[in-house]
Order: sequence, then C-alpha cells, then structure tokens
Amino acid sequence: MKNSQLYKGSLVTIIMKLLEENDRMYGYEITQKVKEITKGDLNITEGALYPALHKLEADGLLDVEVEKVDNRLRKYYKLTEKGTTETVNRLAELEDFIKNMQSIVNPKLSY
Amino acid sequence: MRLTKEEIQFIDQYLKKSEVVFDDLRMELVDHVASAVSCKMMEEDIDFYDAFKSYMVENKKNILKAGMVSRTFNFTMAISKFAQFVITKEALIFIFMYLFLSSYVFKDLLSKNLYGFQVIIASSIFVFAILWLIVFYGKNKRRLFAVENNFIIMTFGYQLFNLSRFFWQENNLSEYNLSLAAGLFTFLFLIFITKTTLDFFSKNKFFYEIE
Repeated sequence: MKNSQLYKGSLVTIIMKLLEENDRMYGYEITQKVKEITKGDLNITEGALYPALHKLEADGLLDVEVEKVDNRLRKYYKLTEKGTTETVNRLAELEDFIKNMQSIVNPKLSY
Repeated sequence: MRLTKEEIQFIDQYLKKSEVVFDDLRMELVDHVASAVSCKMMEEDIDFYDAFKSYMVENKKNILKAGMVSRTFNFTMAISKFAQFVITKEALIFIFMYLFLSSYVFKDLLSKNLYGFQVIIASSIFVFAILWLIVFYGKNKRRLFAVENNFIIMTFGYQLFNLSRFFWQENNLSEYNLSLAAGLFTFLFLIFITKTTLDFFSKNKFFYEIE
C-alpha cells in the first residue's frame, strides 16, 4: 500500500467495492485485482490486507467460505447483507469526499 | 501451476517456524504465498525453491506482519464480536432469564449459599478451560486466532470486576449483586466462546482435512 494516510484510510472501501463487484474473493486475488486495475500503481501489502479483512469479518460485514483448492485450503470472503448496505454508504461518502476535494484542490474542474 | 502437497507443507512449516503460530491465520497465508509462488514459477520459468526464495526476499516482512496480529491480540475486534453477541435474541433471552431467576425464584437460595454460587462461577471457568485445552491443544493440536482472541474479553471483564471491588465499600454495593454480575458475565462469556467456536468450525469444515 502506498505510504499515505489517504490510501490507508481507503483500504476498507477498496476491499468492499471489489467484493461488491466480484461476489467472493480470496486475499491474493484482491491484491492482484487492485494491482491490475491501477496498472501496478497501488500495491496492497499482506500486512495491511489481512488484518482489515479479519476486522470486517468480526464486524459482521464479511462472511467467509473455506474450500480445498490445489492441495491447500482457501478462504473466500463475501459481503453480508449488512456489508452490502455498508458498501453503498461508504462509496457515497467517498464520492462526496472526492467531490469536495475536487472543489478545493481544482475549483475549475469541479462539478 | 499446481504445487505439490510437500511444497505446501514446506510453506506451512516455514511460516510456523517464523512464528505465525495460529493455524487459521497461517492457513490463509499459506494460500497467499502458494498462489504468488506458483505465479512466479510460471512467469519466470523457475522451480519452486527459487520462486519461493525470491518471493520471500521481497515479501517476508509483510507476510509475517499479517501473521503477527497474533502477538498483540486484537482488542477492538474481540469487543466488537462480544457486543454483537450480547444483543442477539438468544443472549437477551438468557440475560432476562438469568436476572428473573436470580432476582425472584432463587433469590433466597442464592443469598444463603452465596459462597457456593461463587464456587460454581469459578469452577465453571476452570472446567471450561480444561476442556478447551484437551480439545484444542491435546487432541487437535491447533491454535485458532479467531477463537483465542476472544478470550481477551475474559481478562477485560475481570479487570472491571476488580475495579468494581474498589468502589464496593464506598458505594455499599453488596457482595450479592457483585456475585450476580460476575455470574452473568461469566456465563455469557462461556456461551459466547462456545458459539464462536461452533461458528468457526461450521464455516471451516475442511480445516482438519489437510495435515
């Protein structure tokens, strides 16, 4: 993860947005998807990702499924009903934030 | 590229020796490392050990950081889970029944046998702890972060009771009420741990298949 509070503060929203679009994902898949979407610009580290996933699970926002894949166990995460609602709220909040920051940083381009 | 059982076990043992002690956290990291290593093997056309070594040189610090959550048990996570449990229908029914029975039906009996009640509270924790050790460390030889982390609630709860004893004399809180509160907390905690454990195993039914 880029060493910026802006990115760190958005990690949970990024995870929830990806899960909203992909139904269920496992840890490594999430890191690769973010890398792919941002063309390698954003790299989520394992040390940031897994504690965030465990916290979301403990808060009841994510549910898990464990499956046997290629001689090992794989833990898939998916949004719960509560998690889906929370994702909508967080994305709306993030959009507001971006809009406000746009107005402040570059007023000419604000919408 | 599909890794062999031996290669998976190699990753598992490596992480275990690197102090990722909880099996559930390690299981997830094993899959992470295995996925990354198999991609590296394909992309760079190298063997398992070269790919593993190359990956760990770059990522060991972050991988171990993900497993180190075990060292500093996550207090907010445990509190959040316990708080969610306390407001479930089952827990609220238990609290209501407990308060009703202890305040009306068994009030005289408990007042006369308060010491006995305190012994029951203490011994229920003791028996539970013994069973816990037999099942997890004796029989299955597993340590699970998802379950063990919740024991922090117990420590926190008893610190609160120690604190309440400090105010006991000044505010004239009776030993009876304090014992009832301790009993309520203890039994709620034991139900919570049992429920958390059963939930974990129902969601992770494959957990014991790979050795």
